[in-house]
Amino acid sequence: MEGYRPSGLKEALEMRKKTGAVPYAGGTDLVVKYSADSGTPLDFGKPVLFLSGIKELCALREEKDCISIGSAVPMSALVKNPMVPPLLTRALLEIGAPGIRNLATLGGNICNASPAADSLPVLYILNAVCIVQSLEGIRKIPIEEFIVNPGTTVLKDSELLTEIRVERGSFSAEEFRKVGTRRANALSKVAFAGCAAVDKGRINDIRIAYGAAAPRVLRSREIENKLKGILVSDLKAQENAVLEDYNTLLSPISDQRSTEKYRRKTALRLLQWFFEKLAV
Amino acid sequence: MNTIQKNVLREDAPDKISGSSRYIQDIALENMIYAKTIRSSQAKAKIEKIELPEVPPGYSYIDFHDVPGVNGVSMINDRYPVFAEDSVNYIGEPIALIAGPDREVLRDFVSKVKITYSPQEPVFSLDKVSDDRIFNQYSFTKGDPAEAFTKAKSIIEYTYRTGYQEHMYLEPQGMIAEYTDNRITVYGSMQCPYYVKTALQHAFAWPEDRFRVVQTTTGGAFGGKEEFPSIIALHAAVAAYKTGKPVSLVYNRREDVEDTTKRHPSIITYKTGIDENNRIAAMDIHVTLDAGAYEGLSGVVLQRALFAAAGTYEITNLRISGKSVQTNTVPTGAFRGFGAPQAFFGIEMHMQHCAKALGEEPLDFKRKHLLTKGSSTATEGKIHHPVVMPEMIEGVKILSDYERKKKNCGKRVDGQIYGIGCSLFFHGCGFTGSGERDKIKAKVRLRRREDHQIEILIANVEMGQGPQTTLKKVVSQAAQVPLTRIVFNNPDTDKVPDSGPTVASRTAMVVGYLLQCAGEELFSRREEKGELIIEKQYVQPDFIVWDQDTFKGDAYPTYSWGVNVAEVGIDPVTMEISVDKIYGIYDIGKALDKDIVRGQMEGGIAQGVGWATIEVMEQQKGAIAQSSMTDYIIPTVQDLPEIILDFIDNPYEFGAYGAKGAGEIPLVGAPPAVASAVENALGFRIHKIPIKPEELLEAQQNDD
Amino acid sequence: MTIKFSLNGKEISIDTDPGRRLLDVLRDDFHLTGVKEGCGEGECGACSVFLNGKLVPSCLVLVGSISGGKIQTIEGFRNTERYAVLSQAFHEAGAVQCGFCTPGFVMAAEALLRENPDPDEKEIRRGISGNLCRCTGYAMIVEGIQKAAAVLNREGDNGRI
Repeated sequence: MEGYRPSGLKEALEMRKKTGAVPYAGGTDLVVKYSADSGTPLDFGKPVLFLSGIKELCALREEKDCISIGSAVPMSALVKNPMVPPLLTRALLEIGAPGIRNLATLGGNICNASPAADSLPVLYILNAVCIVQSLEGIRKIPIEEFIVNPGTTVLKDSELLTEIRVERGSFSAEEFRKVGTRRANALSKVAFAGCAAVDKGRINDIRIAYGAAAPRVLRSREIENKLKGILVSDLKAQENAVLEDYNTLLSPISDQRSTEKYRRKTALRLLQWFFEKLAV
Repeated sequence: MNTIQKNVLREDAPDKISGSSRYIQDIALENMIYAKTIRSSQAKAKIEKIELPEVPPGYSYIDFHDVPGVNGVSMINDRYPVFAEDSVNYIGEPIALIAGPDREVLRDFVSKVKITYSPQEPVFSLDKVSDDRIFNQYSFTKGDPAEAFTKAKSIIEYTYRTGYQEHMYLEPQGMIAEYTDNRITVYGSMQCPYYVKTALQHAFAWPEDRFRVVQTTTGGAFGGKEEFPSIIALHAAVAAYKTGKPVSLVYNRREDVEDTTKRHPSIITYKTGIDENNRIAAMDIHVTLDAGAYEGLSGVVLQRALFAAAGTYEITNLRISGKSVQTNTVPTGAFRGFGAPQAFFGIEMHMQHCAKALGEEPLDFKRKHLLTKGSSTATEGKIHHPVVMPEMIEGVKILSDYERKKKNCGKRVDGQIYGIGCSLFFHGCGFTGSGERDKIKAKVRLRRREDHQIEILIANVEMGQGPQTTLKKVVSQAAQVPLTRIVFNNPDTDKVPDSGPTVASRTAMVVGYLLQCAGEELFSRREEKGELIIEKQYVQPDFIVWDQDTFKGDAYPTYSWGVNVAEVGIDPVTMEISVDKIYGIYDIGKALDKDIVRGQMEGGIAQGVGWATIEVMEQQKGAIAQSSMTDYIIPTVQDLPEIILDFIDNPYEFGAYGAKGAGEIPLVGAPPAVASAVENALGFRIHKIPIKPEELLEAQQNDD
Repeated sequence: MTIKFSLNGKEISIDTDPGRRLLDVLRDDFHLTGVKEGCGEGECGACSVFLNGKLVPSCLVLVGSISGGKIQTIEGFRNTERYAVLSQAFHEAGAVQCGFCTPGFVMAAEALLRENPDPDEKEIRRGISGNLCRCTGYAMIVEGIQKAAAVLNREGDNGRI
């Protein structure tokens, strides 16, 4: 396999355009995907572009109305940085284990686009925008448009995901819950992210997203809008209708980790649990 | 002799901590080549055609044609082929090897092998089994159960199921074989060097002196390296013989999870007749084990399961029967507990269910039926030794504050649904039945060298469980010689007698006792000059009476005993189980080293907790669905309870310094304690492990 | 691809397929067999090394990505005084059974203690949550790390380590 180690973003974009080389930041998903026998080299079928040294991909900035996270910043650095919204930190701490988090990146988690990726539900409710660059220019793509299918994004062969911009997110309530196969170092059976801005008993903003419950992260602004403006005390009355709404959208699968029934039912129970937390 | 229990620092630890210990994957011999296994993709099929890519120069294709003698791996019988011939019986069955210097070339070769199969109808079901699928079938009766059932006031019948368990030793299996000076030498990760040697002799059909087997530092085994290594050893050895080069055959993790032995899944049915005093009048128990495609050790696993199926209870009228069944799945085999974990899950849950059906408190109900010294066992043998279970039960109740905490079952404690449950269990020490006397005939040797070092020469291996420390302590104490003068190297069949396999919780008790005797003789002969070699051979204690044909008498010379209490919390939203605390009190005769015994208990409980909860392994049409470390989930440090232990001394006169078996019993007791606790938390019957949140949710919904 | 890096304090330059796993380069080219292969999927932690001072599973690192980096394996770390403390603590705590997972745990413990010299039990458990052990049930390993932390902190006060 050919390998390139560009020293800066421009050179990286040039290599990408020229060869369609596979972007490799932390590499943890790639190495597992293309795993080979002990003692034998991996082959991605294309050249590989090693990105971890590129400064432009490793910045973490506070902007006026958002936080900008470099796509190649290791997750372990993100979880230590107070700039990162706490809900995102919570989700990242559920990914892998300390050693893996020293390699894994947000860029990788997004581009791998697994339906079970743990950062995604939080990124969806923080209205993440993917900054994608090529030699031709910059595209700003909301995350729900960036990921189209399990394992598939709109990233072109000539592009790199360079930054992820998320809302700063100040909510009166925020929860992230991952139901994994065990307590640590686990893949998700189903994940829930929810946040709300409640003021004087009224829900001004509410956002809900599910991971591992559908081919892509499930977030419905339509359902959220129905809940905006209502009193927390009225949530209970609306609950069954809301659950039914989400139930129609959920499409979990049965696999070696869990069953469709469990994922569906637990997803709905997690929403009830969230509503109960709001009511407190 | 209390000082022996005091823990000493393990001598093997520093090299292990520093990474200097060499496991089989770390060893490279000169001119060594690698081998990769070509495996069946079909659960049951005839092999019509194998089309190979061109075999590059310097590479060798090895299959059943290259086995010099008999294409059979000697276990109980030799019907497990070394390499499949014209048919395959499970996905992953080895068909051939490709061997050579470059692993990339091997990988490429295997990917291009084209096998044409005629698929046949595979079988997976354990229900309605035709006779030709039964490998082993046994039954025995005590008293008159038929009569007792007719007189019973009520009859309670339930069925219990347990799933696979994968050993997941951290060190994958592997062997290196070489053929030099007309001899085959095999190095590798194993529990039983002489099993491997016997298998080599049988398949090659050469005399025994042409084989040498050397154990390398073994990174965990738990039964998974009891019989399976014979297969890898044969593969590597045949390849070494054919190529004339040393051959390394080390499995990768996925291969190890998919294609090596696992714990037998089981279905156990209980039918219990209750008399007018609410006591058990009769029991009829049937055990079915899934043996996978080949029999392997299934007959012995089944025997142990049958002898444990009535648990720690004295049942006057008893019928126990069982069978091991062939399915077209990866063959199952030895795993810590060896049939007892399945049986104890069954009997302990059943006793709890009977108690509840009768409105009795489970622990009290169990106590009423306990075996005691002099009791007649399930096989109409005798409990020859004191049984301290009543004291252990009282002890664990105090230790765990059981009576008070019971009242919280089903209530919310710290946001979780609380449950507490218990289990009572034993483990028959040593080889089942007459194996020790008739098959193993263990021999040990102590060699006092000219330099006054004393060498322990036995075939038993260190695989983490500590014999390289505990047995040295035994000899040190017996020969009255400082520990630093005792040597115990990894066994080499050229140098050590056959003291039997490292299995069945027999090492400290049986082999240790022989070493104690040898050591004591060494002490009595300490004035003699020069090199001294003392050999001792197993003699069966004469109180043991056993008939292997009728399964009547003392199935084991003695038993270790245990009680467990488990506390769990169930998350009301997700139904995830948190095992918070396990209390265990054990009678293992005598602990030969406090730390080593603690390590065995905590490690065994961890495996029991895992098997009962998160270790899910299922097969779909013969393919293992959870076939990697990512998908087959073993506990991390975050997944295990706090463990509180205590021990009661109850020395056994024919165990080293009173020691009985300790290695397996901790795994046996944990699952039913956890399952009882979950049941007590949620209120519906648990009859199956692993206990999956998916199934708890379903059961809860059905309840509603 | 030519890859330059520092390995246990020594400057190295190799010309190799960048798609090779760091684990294989360390074990096969440099005979650093203290770095074990337990799973090849980043699950077990037995292959843990320090990359630029950070704990990583070397089975998930392609050698092409470590250019200009600093690698320390157990073979490098075991020559230090901090290792001596950890090793003694593990030994005394009875934390070693089959030993295959142990070097990985030592590396994870060191990574934890470098960052958090006085961790509570919860933090220790989180720090080693990426290392699997099948023999011990972990409690004695946690105690070993607690022992080591206590000693390192004492000696740290004296400025010796």
